[in-house]
Amino acid sequence: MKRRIVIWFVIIIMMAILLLPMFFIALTSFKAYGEIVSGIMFPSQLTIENYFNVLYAPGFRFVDFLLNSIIISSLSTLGSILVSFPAAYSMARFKTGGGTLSSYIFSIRLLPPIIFALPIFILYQSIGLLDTHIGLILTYIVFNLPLSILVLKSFIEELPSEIEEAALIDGCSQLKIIASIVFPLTMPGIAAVSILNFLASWNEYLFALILTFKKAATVNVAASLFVTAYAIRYGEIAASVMISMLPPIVFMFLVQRNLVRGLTLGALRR
Amino acid sequence: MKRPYLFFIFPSFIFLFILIAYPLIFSLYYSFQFWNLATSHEPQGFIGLTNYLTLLNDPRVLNAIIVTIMLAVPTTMIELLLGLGIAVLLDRDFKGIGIFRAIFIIPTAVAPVIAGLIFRFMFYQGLGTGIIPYILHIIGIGTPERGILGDQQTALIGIAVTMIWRWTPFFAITLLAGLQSVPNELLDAAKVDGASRYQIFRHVKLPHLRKLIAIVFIICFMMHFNAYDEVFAETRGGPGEATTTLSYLLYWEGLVYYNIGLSAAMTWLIAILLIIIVNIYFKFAFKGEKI
Repeated sequence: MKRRIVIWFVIIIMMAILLLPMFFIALTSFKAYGEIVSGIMFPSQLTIENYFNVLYAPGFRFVDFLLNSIIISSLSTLGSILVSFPAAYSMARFKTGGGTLSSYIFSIRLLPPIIFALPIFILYQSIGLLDTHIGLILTYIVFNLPLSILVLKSFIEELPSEIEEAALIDGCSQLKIIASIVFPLTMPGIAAVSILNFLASWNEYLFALILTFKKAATVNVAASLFVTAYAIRYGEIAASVMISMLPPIVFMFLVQRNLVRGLTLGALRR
Repeated sequence: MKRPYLFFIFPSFIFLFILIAYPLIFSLYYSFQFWNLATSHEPQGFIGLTNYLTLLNDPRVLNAIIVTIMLAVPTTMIELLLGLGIAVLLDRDFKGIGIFRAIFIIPTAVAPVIAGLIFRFMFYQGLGTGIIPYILHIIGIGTPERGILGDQQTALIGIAVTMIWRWTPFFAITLLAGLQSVPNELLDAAKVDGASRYQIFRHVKLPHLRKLIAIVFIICFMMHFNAYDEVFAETRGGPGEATTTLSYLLYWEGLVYYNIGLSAAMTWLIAILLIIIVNIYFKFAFKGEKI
């Protein structure tokens, strides 16, 4: 029993440290301006004035940036599933590329994103994709591809291939087999990959910063620009951080059962 | 369809070629050219290896390599140890432990740049003091006059703390899943043989986790090696160059000064450095196994 109390104690301390940043930023976002600048840690009353100021700031379309994030994250998630699924199927069933291709794809994920930034910036500049939704969506599809392919491949490899073989003998076409047999059976994997892709796209910052300026900027860019644009308005910065942080957290809470396997690139089998 | 697999892999190939291979080829070509986009829209002439030699003689590059490694290696190690500890702690069947597991995963959903902004706030010193100096002062630990992120000695630690907060749960959750995937037959056999809790962990669970740890470690290490978001949000590479990582230096050369040739050469220096590090790592961690 004593041992159990110690364990609970340690867990609760850990939890407190873990949640402290969230608590602090939430607290700041509800503090009135006067109390923030006078250094009061625990305010006498809470206010939603900061949120109001962020969402309706004149000349700063925060709501639009939020919409941009939603559109870009959803479409890039959909796109990377559509592109990666056939590739994963091909690698799992036809052994395309053998083991070498997997290692190459894995190593793409290890390269620093920044080394692609400048060439993509110049490419986009010359074909007019700068500051467009589609430009950012295409980039995110590519950066989500390696993880999607590897995780989906590991899911498809675990499906028994007898069903597909039987369907083939019965005269089913290859495309029909994929659409009506493999795709539905891979759904848990697709769910896991979608979550990760959505989170990765929502949370991406570097390319959003470089490739967009006004029209297609995401909510993270907006939140970080708030820091420079309104250097002193801590409450509003905190509120904008809260707004950009909450959707992915809520989303993760709703779907976290499917998450872990994707996090480990499919290395962990159930 | 004669060769269906080619048809299936084609879309991925096109995407990866245009946005991954093209930039690398682009960089290779322009790394031998002099080109500053701020002064000219066309490359300004072939200059051989000059860009590479400039970089190798530039003290900022050496500094950035040291900063990057000083940041990435200890941070990932600490995260692995903490994460493993938490995973072992949570790997039991109490009532209500599911809620703790669910809460533990939260930081993984926070964008690195947002984590950076939050910690910049928490470290802030001055008007409206941040909570970290506040707590440190209460327990009697002094902080540098310019704040933790404003001091050459401590700025990197500040960024490391941010990363540890953001990534330790990632280790904990993945390793926990690994611990729970140990086959029951193995655990039962160990118990029948009279192994203690520690012995089971050391000789049954830990070997089972080896490959998973190796993969998670390299993913995280590379994330930290490539760190950009937290640096941008917290210190912008400063004070001085105390937190200028390779990624941040490359950002600065390429997208602020528009030195295309020089940053193209830096791209390839970083790529070569990474290939060396990753190859050595794989040799030791996987001993030739397939991923």
